[in-house]
Amino acid sequence: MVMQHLILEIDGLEHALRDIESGDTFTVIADRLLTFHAGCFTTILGPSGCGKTTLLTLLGLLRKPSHPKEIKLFRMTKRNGETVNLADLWQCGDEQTIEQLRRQSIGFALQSGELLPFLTVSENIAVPLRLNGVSKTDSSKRVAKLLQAFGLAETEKKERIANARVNKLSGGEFQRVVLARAIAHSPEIVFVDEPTSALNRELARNALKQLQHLTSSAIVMITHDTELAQEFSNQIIEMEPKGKTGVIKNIVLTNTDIQ
Amino acid sequence: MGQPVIAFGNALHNFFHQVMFDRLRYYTELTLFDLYRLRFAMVQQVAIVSGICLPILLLLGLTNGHINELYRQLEESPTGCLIRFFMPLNSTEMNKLQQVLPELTALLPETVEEAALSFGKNIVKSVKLNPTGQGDPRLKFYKIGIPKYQSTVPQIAVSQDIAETLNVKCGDRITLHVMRNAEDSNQSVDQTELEVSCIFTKEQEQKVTYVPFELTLDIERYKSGHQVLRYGWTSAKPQPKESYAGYLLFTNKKTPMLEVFRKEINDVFNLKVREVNRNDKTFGGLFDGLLNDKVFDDLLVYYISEKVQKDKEWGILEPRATNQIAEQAGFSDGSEVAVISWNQPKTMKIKPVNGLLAKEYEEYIVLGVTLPMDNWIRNYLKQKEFFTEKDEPYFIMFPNNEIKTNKVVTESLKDWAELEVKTVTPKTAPVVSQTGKITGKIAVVPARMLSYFYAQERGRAVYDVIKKRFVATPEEPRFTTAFGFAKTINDVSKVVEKFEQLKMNKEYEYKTMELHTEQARIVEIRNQSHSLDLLVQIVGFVVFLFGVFTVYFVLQDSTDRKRGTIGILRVMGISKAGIGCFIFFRSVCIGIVSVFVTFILGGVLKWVLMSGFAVHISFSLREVLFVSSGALFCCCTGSLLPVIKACRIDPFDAISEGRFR
Repeated sequence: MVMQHLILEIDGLEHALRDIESGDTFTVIADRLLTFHAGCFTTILGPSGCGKTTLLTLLGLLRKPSHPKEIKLFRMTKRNGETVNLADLWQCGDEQTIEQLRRQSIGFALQSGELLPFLTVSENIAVPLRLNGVSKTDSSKRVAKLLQAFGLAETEKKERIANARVNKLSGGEFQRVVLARAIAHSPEIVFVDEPTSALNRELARNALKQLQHLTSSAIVMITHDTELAQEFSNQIIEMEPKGKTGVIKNIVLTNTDIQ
Repeated sequence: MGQPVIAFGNALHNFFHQVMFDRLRYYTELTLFDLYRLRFAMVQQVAIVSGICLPILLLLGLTNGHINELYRQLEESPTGCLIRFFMPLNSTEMNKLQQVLPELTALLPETVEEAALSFGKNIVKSVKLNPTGQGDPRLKFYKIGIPKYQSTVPQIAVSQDIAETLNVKCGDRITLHVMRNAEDSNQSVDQTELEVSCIFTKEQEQKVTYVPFELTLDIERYKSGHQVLRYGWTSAKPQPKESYAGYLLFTNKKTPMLEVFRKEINDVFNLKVREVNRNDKTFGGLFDGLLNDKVFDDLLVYYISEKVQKDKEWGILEPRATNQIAEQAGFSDGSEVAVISWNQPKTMKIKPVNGLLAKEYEEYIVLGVTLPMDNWIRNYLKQKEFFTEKDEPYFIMFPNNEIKTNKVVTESLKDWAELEVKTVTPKTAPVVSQTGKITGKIAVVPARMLSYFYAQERGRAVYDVIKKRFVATPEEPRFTTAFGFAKTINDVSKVVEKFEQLKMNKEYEYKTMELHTEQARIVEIRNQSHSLDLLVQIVGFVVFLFGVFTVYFVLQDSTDRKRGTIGILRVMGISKAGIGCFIFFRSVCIGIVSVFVTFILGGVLKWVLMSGFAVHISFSLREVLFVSSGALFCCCTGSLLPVIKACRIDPFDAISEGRFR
């Protein structure tokens, strides 16, 4: 696989988590240069509680870094070449631009999916499109393609899935819908949080294959499954807990041609 | 310069249309999906808001219904909208007053006529005839049809006891007997037919009837001595007072009028005297042909009148209503003086009844002269037959013998009023045109008759065709009290206000001009209404205020339950304002649905309470607006804090927490 342009670069990013009951603080520190390229599959590996999800929320602009002024590098480059200095955005608290970036450039497939319970499968997949101002007709076409691609519209039974409420779906179907929604609006980068938690390995593997096949975005996945990571990743970021901090232990480049 | 402006305009349009409008529409769509597809939660919230609104709606409805019922009872009672006018009014003035007060449905004289009714051999000697008319609510209250003043026979509504005594049914024609004192102090009775329009049961009052207001006026006129042609009721009035423009005084040339006497006439009777000579043309055919030429040879002729006629030949002198006897006695003191009461000859249009000679009216100059037999002026008459010695009976003579029939009509008396023609065969040539100075045709009548022609022209007399004589013009019956009915209770106050204004403006010159209404009771109900309204509004306001807190807790709980949803939306990039819109739209929709549910339940409860418990409930626009705005106020105000809290939710935390809910 040929790596494309650089999407996200970070260095010197940290976020402190505070336990309200005990008052203890756990700080996740990304003190090494991390880069994410379009078409590159990155896996964050590590034991539970080492700060993988916190790192993912930082990368996905869901949480504000603890010390924005001390960030060495935090930059996103869009497909059109426009570069956005995310450190500055956090520093000046430009929430509107951050929300816009989240809406337009980032896709999330979080642990256990989290689909909107009052919408059907099609409507859930269409949410990012509609939020970005895509018309109902255009978004319907895109949703139909995605349903087809993820194998949700192959049979007569699955036709019904498109208009079914999300509580009627099986685990595998649910996860595929989540993945379809994450890439519906063709974001620059997609974050996938533990796709195997609700699926068996085979189903997870198939879902990830489809994801990799359907998008040219940078994909960042959190998993405990080393085998799966080895199979799909171009880059593996290993994390480990060190006292009251979670740090990056190692960055391994696997079958990759990162330029 | 132009292109950047257009580009800016396009960008602005795109921003509002594509970004703002589309996004807002999508938020609304999400809200509706959430409400409809997760409706169990919505039903709970709607039930709570409706539970707050429904008691207030019912309370308002009960208050309104109670007051409306009081008004309705007052309105439907015979006295609720009754207004009594204590002022003398005739029918014309009553019509005028009703035009000034359009709030009145009817204005009727407060009078009850007494009369007798008969049907065949059955008779009821004394019944009360109550006047009524269109818009009289009393009859509506007693469910009696309003009798009509029809062109054929007027109608009458009679009570059941009268109907039983007379043995009549609806549609029968009964006879009305009316009575009055005649000129000779005897009582005269007249009658007419009436049609029974309705027989009503009214146990509390017996021998009562309702008749059209116009019939009451007819009976009043009859009792006042006037003729009522419609029923053939003749006049019982005396003849009107005769009036003359002046007097012609004749005296011997040897005894001219002394200056002292002339002055006395001027001072005592306020009249002026002028001498008439043979060239004077102002007396019609009198000196031109009816009296012989010796008059001016032997006599001096004076004309005594209010003002001296100088320039005009005919009829400018007005007949005066004066004490003839006293005046004549004053002038004719002495046998050497002769006096004739004099009115200027009157031009009238006359035609024979049988149309023998004239088919159309022709103009005649009518002279009025009466000369008693003992008046020595008769010695100077050319033809004594033309001068009647008495004023009655009425007749008309044509000295030139133009009309050879025994009856004529004059245009002023209409075709139905015929006058007897006294035929006199002239012994000499026709008087007219002897001198060649009188161009018109001449007719002669008694002096008093000419005086009545003038009186009729001036509206002081009418001709009774049955009795064939002139009588004084009847005065319209005047009633000391009248009563009217306002259209609604609120109109009573308007009438009172307008009437006070009429009094202030002195549009009616009556010494007594008062009103009596149920205004005090109306004001009492109005005050009661205001107090109850205020009470309910305060209660409603307090309940809605507490409702805000209730709705806040309910919506806060609901928003907490939606943390997962909010988190997902925030992760996908929806803004804080978008989340705020989502929660706020949801609250507004709950408010709107609650309003509908409240009104549906309110309607059902109203029906149950009104049909099952005879409770009066009434909802007007005011109640609907109060409850609707209260419900929306509760939902909007109660949603403010949940909206603010929802906007502050950390997206990732919300997902993590929501996941385990």
